[in-house]
Amino acid sequence: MSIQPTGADLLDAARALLRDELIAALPPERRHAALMIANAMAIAERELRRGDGALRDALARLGSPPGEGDLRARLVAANRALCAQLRAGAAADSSRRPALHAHLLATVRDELAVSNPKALADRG
Amino acid sequence: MRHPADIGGRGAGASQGGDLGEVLAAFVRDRGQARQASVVSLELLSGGAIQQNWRLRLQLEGGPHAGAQDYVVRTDAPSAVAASRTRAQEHALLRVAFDAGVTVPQPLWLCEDRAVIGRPFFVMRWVEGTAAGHLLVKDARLGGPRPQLAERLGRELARIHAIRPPQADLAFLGEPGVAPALEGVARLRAHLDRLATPRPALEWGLHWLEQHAPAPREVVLCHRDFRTGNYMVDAEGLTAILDWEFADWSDPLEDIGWFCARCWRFGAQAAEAGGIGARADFYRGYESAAGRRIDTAAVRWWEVMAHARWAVIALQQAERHVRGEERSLLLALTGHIVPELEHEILMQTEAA
Repeated sequence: MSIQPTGADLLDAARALLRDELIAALPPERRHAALMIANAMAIAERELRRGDGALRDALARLGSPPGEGDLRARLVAANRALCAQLRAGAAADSSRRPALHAHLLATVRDELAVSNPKALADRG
Repeated sequence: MRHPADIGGRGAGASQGGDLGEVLAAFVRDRGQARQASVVSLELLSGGAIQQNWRLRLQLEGGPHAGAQDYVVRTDAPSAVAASRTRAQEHALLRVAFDAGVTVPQPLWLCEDRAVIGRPFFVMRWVEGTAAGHLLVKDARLGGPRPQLAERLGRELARIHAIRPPQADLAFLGEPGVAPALEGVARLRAHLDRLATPRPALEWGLHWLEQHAPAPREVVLCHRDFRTGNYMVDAEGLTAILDWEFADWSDPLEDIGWFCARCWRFGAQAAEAGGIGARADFYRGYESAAGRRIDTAAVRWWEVMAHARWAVIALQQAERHVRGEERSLLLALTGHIVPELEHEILMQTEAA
């Protein structure tokens, strides 16, 4: 159990202060840097709030056996294997293509939910 | 702003306590055949990782350039890594483009003698205008009426594409390829293989691109970063096309696809031509100047390719930060553009 507020909550509070009080007070040429900082904090907060759920979902879709070990490392290994299959033409197999596309789309949408949820809303 | 002399100069002029402005003024005086050149101002414009641009205002006496002159001096950043083009190569590209009637800042003098300021540089005319993509897309007062701007950009691109191999001054580009589309896919695969993180969505995209590559036609000079953000406008219209570091022989449709790609509209999705105008206006300008029609189906392929290429570049930039080569929040955030690019690729390539 960690101290409340959590890291995600801290990022949210810090970003609100940056946005509500600091940015308007900065000289115009500094505002872009402050906006980048706010964006980075928003991404970090969403990543913390997402937790491991999306990684587990992706591994499950890839048919990776559930197990111990670092989730990220297992996902990288599974993705390397998938890349090799795609390079070898797996997407040309009409029986596999729809499921592959669906998996890739679901993965990218989960990533977009962290990196840029507005893009998801715009493009659907 | 850094002191103008603080360039880590190893050249004789700068290291002997000579002010950078004075050294450059003497250079312009000599090459410009003036009697005298005095510095009005020297201002660092932008400190990129690779290039440095200085605005140099001089008062020249005598010779063909007598009077108040406004120049840009373009040189390497002190800590430049291997760049896509040397300053000499960039100068040659600007020269060829200028001579072909493309609207670029007029390149004047190239200096490859490192004794002057310690690095190669070239001098070009200062051009007024703003290039900021986000501003252009939002502020309709910039760049004049948008249909005319889109059409003008189409005409300019056609003029760039009228520059065909071989060109003696562009020998450094090497032999033009025979199949730019497939060669582009192969290059992206090679770049992907050098990256730490596997990206299956990009592999999917590259497979689709390989399977649907349009037949090769002509190979011409392409700008290869022709997009909103890389040209300047004033209140009336276009003032200069910039950032020629990626120029190379390629399929002209590559440039059209890059300009119209969704990822380069700065959020103005309905304005398919660079986020600033209608595709029809851009195409009309291009087709009338080029004397041939644009293959619209092939452009769609190059738009998917644009997303894949920008995604690979973004991954490389993020990796520079992660590996510690260049710690930068901008580079770090660039990695987070990739999911949106992959999403677009997947949306456009669902069908086999």
